[in-house]
Amino acid sequence: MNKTAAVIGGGISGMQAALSLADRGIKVYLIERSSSIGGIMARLDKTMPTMDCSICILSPFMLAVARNPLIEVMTLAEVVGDERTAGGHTLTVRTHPRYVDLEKCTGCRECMAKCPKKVTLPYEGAYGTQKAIHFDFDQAIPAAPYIDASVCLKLTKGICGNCAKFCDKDAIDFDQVEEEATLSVGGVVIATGAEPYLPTDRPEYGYGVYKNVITAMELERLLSAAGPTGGTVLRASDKKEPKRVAFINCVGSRDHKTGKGYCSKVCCMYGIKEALLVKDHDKEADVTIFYIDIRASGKGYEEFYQNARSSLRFVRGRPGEVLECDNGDLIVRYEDTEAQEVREERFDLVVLNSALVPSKGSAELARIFDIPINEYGFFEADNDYADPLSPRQHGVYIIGACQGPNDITDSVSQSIGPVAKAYGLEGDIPVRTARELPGTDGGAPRVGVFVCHCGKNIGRYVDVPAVVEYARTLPDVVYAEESLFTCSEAGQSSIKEKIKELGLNRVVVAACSPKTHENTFQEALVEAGLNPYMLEMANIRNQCSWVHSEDMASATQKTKDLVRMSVAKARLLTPLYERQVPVRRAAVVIGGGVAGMTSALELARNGFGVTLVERSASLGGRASLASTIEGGPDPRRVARDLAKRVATEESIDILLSSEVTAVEGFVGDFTIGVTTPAGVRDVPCGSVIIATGFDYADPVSSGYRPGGMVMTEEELITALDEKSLAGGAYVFMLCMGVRNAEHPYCSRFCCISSLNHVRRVLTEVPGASVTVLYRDIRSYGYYEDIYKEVSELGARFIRYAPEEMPVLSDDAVTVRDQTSGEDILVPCDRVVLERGAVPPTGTTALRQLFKISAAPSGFYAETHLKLAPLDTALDGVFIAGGCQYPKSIPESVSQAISAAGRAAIVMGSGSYAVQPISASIDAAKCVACRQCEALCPYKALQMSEDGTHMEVITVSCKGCGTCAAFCPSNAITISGFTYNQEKQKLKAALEGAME
Amino acid sequence: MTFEPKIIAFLCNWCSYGAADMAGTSRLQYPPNVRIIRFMCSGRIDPNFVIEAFLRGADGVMMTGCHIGDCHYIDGNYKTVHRYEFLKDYLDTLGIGSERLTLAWCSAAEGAKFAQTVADFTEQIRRLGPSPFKERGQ
Repeated sequence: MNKTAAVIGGGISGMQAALSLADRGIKVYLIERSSSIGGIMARLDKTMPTMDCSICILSPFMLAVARNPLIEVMTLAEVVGDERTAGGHTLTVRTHPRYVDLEKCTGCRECMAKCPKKVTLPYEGAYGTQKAIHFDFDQAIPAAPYIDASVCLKLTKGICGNCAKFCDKDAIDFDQVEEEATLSVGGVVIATGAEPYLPTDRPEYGYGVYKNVITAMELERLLSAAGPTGGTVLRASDKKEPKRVAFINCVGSRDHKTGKGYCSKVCCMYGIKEALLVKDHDKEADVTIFYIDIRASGKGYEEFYQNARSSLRFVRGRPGEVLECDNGDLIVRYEDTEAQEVREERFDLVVLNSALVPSKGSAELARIFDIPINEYGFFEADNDYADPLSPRQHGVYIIGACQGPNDITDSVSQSIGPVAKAYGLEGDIPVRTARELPGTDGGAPRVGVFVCHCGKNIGRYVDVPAVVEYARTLPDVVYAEESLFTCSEAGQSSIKEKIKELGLNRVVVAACSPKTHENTFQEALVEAGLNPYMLEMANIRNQCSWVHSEDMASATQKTKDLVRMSVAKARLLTPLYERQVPVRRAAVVIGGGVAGMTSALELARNGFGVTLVERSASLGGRASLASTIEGGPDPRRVARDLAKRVATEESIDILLSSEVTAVEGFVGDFTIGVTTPAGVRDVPCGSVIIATGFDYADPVSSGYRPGGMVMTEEELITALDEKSLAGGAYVFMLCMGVRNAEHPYCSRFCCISSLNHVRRVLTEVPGASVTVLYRDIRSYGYYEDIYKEVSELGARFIRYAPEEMPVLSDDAVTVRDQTSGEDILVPCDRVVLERGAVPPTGTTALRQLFKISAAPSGFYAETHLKLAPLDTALDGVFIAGGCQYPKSIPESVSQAISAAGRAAIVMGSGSYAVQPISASIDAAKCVACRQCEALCPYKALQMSEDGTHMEVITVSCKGCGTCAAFCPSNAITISGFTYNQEKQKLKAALEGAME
Repeated sequence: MTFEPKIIAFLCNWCSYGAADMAGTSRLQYPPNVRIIRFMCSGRIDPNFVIEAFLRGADGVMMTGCHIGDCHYIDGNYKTVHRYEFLKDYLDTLGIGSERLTLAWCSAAEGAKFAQTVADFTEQIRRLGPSPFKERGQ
């Protein structure tokens, strides 16, 4: 088999796919059309709902891609041809000239300073002040500029050439030409994403005509410190900060006029995020969001929305028109559906929350690879219940927003899938070799301090130059500098250069959290020949600038203290070495629903043994009861087919009516205790996937109880299947048991399944009429089509508010209609309670067995909501499907395939590198009291053979340090956290405190 | 000059340090009096570190970790509870006062709880005034 792959598109999906493929030893060509990898995410200011700095959480991935020896990044490149071969595909790739030699360029930017020709960057509209030779954004990778040939004076008119004249490295090359190359690859992953729609065909909003009407993507650039205004929101007409800002939702989404009937899924949330950021920049600003439904249907989104309601104004209604005043102000004319009147209101700035549309060139790519596209121009999977990643062509996979609007979480949830799908059958899995870490401590401490501005995330609230000045006065500090983004390629190059130039042997990075960026900076040290554990980070962003943003003096003082503490510890750092532990090639999958069965099958296909543990007496899970959504396959058949395949797969051992009751060991070598009807069985394995799904919420928490004419959706489906329902008036009540005090989140799938149930009643039950009582209809993405269909079938929709819950009587429901404000009496024969989802019973017990946290909603917490939605705090344990958060079947299947990919990476490498923090014992000090032995949860301490002292079993030690904290003779040292290192840090923290 | 408490907080890598990070990303404001020292586990908080902190002029010390049952190292935080109880008695004996030491559990998702705990404890120490040890030291 051809062990190479092409990934087309270098956004977050493509990068994640490339990294996961490379992790299994597959050579990857990452083909990106623009000048840098990073995609849309690189241009965002923050990500919701966590409000992480977008480029900050993205750049470690960009750097990991750039550093990976198995990934070849091809920028300014596009695929123009594909020929199917026996071993895969032969691609023709056209590369456009950059006119800059990547080998020679150092990214010094002198050329940009000397270039006389200004250009506008995409999404930077009236503000663009870049040059013809430029970076698309500061952290671009490759870290070299490129020349826009359409405006360059040399290339268009043959004059100028300043950039070449002033380049010391002779890196400018005007002779570069377009080139075509062929690549032979085993598989192709298409991750070309989506792009923001430019609403020029919606003249009523005046985009492109009125200067102060911009798209949300343009506002995102204004909010970003690396954007054209340096992070200040200025309106284009007069460069003033707007005080009254309007956001208009659904511009180009849910809009049949412009042929975009789908919901773009992300705009409600990015709109709220940007509105909050505008408020964050200017507390006095009045911010209004015009909306139809707020679709806060992802994990943590509803809570984010509810929190935002106190500082933002939400007006339900779609503005019909925007008019411009002489001074550039804008009049928004809208119908306030709650007040039922047409109003006009004046704003300084209008932001259009515009749709996501297919990336340019999607149709051409579909033609080249002969894959189907849907009516909206996005790529289409053949059967998104069975395999949401595959169009009909074998060996081609589609991931992320090229399938349709997707947020980052959903894109990442899909993007590890190809590694499981594409390379399973061969059983030819490479073993990753342990990396050699440099070792010397370099003698007397020479500390370098690198202080990050993090765009404006630190620089705006902390006096960074003063911190750098201060750092230079600290003992053993031989160098200190500041940079806009220390994590950028430029920032890291500087660390590496200074290590070499000045002989630094210890590095302090004062920036963000070691939990997100320690690996990134450790790699820089390794590349410069230092042991990676000679790094100490001061978390001045999360612990100073962001939490003391209203007090610059204190934030700066605390930053200095944190730097002093880090330097104190850094002076005592010693090299450490990673340990390799062997990994078992078998997995345990917990939960026999669609997600669990899918994970099990993918792992089996990849050559791993699987034990599938299911609590109930049969496989199938919730899908066994779901209804077919119009145009989709029958989920019950999907579940049955999966169960049949699982049952016949030799390498899957199925344990029914069984539960996990004990967990021992760690990544690579777990022992999972399963209580089966035949007794307890210990299952050894290298990795675990938890796919335990969800339970239905109890509608009693919303004030209703099934019985009499009131039934649950589950009872409705059974009755529909038995054709036992009579005609009459049906009332559907949505959000039962969720979006309330007890379960304040939205459980995502229920609007869609409810609409489907309504469709079935209206089409299958003669003489039935339906009224739907709802709060927001959250039929995101293509599910909007079902909403439209159900409305056309004659369903009546009435919006209720949680403060005024509908009242049931024997034969009617009384509801306060939020549109008219009036009480409406709806006579009815049947009431259907559409229940939301809650974490299944046993979640807490399982969570505590594995020591993984819960999100506030009670579902399992992932390592990072955006970028690691399948990982947990425990290495080697992954989550997929409804137990991570309620979701649709295709979404669960995507996650299940990706989780199998993650587990395959862990197990396929043969060994796993674990962090080197561990205990060691000074035999001379140890009095052999054996107290540590009793304390250690891992049985990692034992008496020496001669009985004189204790010894550490290093492979079992996890480095928690609880033994050292007790040892009465101070004989135990924890590497990386020694007594003296921490004491010096403490001393530095309290310097001057006794005065 | 008004009294600004000096507070040392020991955080575990997995839960409470994550909570502190989340307080940051959520832009929750809390008093700037706390200096954080990260360990892998709250079980690593050697009582000597706590005593050392008071010896060097801390007015208050926070011990934080994962919720009981959630410890990344199985049961490290149970040992933290024992040490906390012991330290409280010891601090009373030394005349520093057990109310200058606190123990709090914050999961990695509880940024708000972390910020609130810091705010409450800072206020408590502010009310108590400077550590008596510090005054005696002078």
